[in-house]
Amino acid sequence: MEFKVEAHRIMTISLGKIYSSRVQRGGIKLHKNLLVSLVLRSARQVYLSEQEELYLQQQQQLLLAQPGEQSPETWSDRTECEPPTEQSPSWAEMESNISKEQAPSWTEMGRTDSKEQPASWTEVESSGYKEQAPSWTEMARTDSKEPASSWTEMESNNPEQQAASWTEGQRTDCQEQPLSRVHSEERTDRQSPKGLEEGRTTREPRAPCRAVAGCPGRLVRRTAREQETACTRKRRSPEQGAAAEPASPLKRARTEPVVLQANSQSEEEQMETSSNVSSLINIFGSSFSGLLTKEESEGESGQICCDQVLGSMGSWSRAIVAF
Amino acid sequence: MGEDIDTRKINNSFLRDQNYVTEADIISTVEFNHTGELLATGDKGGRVVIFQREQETKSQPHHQGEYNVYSTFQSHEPEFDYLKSLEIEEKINKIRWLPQQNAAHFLLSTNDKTIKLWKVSERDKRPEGYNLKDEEGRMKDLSTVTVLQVPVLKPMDLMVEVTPRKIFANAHTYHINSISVNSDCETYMSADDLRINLWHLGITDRSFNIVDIKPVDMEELTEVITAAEFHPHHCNLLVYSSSKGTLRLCDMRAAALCDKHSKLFEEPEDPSNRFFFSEITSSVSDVKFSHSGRYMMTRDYLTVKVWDLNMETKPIETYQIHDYLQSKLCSLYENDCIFDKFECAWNGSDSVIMTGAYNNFFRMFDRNTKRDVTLEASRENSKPRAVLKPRKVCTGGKRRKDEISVDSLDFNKKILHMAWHPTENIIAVAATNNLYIFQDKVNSEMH
Repeated sequence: MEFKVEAHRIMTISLGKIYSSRVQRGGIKLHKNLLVSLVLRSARQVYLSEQEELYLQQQQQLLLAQPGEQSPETWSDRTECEPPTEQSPSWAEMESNISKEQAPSWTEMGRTDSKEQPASWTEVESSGYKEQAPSWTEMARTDSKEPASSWTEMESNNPEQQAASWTEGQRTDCQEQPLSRVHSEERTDRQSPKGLEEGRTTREPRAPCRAVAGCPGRLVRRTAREQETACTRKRRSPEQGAAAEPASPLKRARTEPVVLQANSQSEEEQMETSSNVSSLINIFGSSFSGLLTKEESEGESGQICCDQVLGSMGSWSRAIVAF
Repeated sequence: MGEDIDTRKINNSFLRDQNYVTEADIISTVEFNHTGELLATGDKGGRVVIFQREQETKSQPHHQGEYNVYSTFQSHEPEFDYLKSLEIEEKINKIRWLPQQNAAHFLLSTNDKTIKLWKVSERDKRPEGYNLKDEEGRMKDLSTVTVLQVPVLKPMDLMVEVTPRKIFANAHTYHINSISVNSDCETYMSADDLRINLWHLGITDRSFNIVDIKPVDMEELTEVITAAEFHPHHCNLLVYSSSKGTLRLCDMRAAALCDKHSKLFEEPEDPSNRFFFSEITSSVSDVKFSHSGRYMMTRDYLTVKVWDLNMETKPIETYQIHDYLQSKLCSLYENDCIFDKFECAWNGSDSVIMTGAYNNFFRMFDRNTKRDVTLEASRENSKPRAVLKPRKVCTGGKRRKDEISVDSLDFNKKILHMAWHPTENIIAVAATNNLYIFQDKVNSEMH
């Protein structure tokens, strides 16, 4: 848990650095931004892996409790988790049906996959989605060399059955406080940014929250690529995170209409800071290009830029083009 | 080491008695020339200050070997790249002296984009007695000229002239981080984040690209070049370091484009190491060949490593500079200190290595005796000609008197740039905007 808190904090700091590097005198420093993006990637992976673990545990307990019992749960948020079959209104978007399908499969897969990564969210995720998109896991595996970070939609892939409250809890927390699962959140409608807003319009720190907590709820658009297991790729341990795959999965664009920037890239990822903008993760074609060429978004908060950067971790083309 | 020190402090800041430091005065590079007679410093404001060592005279034994300001000039000015709407900083990233070949001295100075060759020459005589011009240079009234005279050279006050001889521009898309003069004294290289170019000192309108690590798809970028240097004796060998902590030795005889290294020096990373920031701390910030040419020294954030050119698998020596910072990496990341690029230096005989740290500390390691010392460059703690007192950082447990705890280190005071005299035990240490010159009088050749 401490890792998650730390990871989130580091992600926030990293995004702030990337954003502020845009306005630095002398232009963007390639070396420093490369290092910052590597740290961001590592932190994200740790963050997501922890979320996965927690989620997996939660799911397992939920499933155990399915027959009607509620096994004692130390995680308060578990109580907020909705049964897999439930669909919170905010989940109404595309993923709903998918989640339903996945609910049962997840459990199974989760169990079978657990050996890969004990109680790893990733496993659950990936296995669950195997049905959905068999290519996902495959891609996850084969794609491990791909440098372009694809912020796998952990979020998106997450079972939508996630208790909205749980996700919210995650979300609201992500900003400042330690992301504690126990934090129960309303976020039912996905609309209320709860505490995430810190003068930011939307994204940013939320994004990490989203990745983890939001997963269950925020899947708006899930592409096969998203299926990719950023989850499965999840490092086995935080230590490995940094050294492991050079390419983190790209976050998939979320259908969230709040696309901050009108860019031509196909995918952009945004951090959602509020439920309003939840599920809006578009993957940048390149992380920095958005930062560099965002004339139109000058008025937006740096957070947005950071959010987009998050989604496109490892995408350098624009940044370099800007050079 | 127990250095007996003659301390000189040259303060470039206008507000020397206050803590405020003008950013333009922050020293960004320090370099001795090949004889050690001249010492050049560059700062963030684009200025270069050259110090000259006083000649030792028996009549003034106390002033032997002190460095005084010799010349100051503005090397680079801020520029604006209109195409990219980017400002180009005037900060001097590196200065390299050319081996002296005549009475004049030549040095290369570079900012992020442009390298300049400067000629530093002295003028201590001037011609007098022109027929057509008077002493002020005005044309004489010809009717007053009755006698022809031959102009003679008369002594004058020493004047140091610095003139730009060559400007090597528009060859780098990314920020130049290193320049290195080849031992052939005709060529030099300049390295930016992704490319290394080879220049001829006399030709400014073209350069050869010899290393290019830019990936076709920038999304696949995983490492950048952080430093590069030519071998001191073999004009065909060069080494460059990367942000991943690797060194690549390239032989220019093998191919025109040296993308394929001849040797790769890399130490396998311990997987159990810290995770979040291990990529940053392993990034090499400086690489220096030893004077013998047999060894290389690299500096990353926490260590200095000495490599044998004949062994690629691991360094032969590793020195922990400030390992106590490992637990503080997160806060150092927050305040950007983790991106500080420390330099390192060899002494003339390659027996001692030196590098900087925080709190204006710098450390020296004797490779033979394995002894090390931590010293501080600060005005409060050292008076001119006082012996520097070794410092110690308390890493845990009970703090002894005179020790400094890790938490009270001042991370704004850092020694990034330094140089060691090529033959004597004289070091120049830059602490933000101050330059400290220390001499080891015990060991230096005197009388």
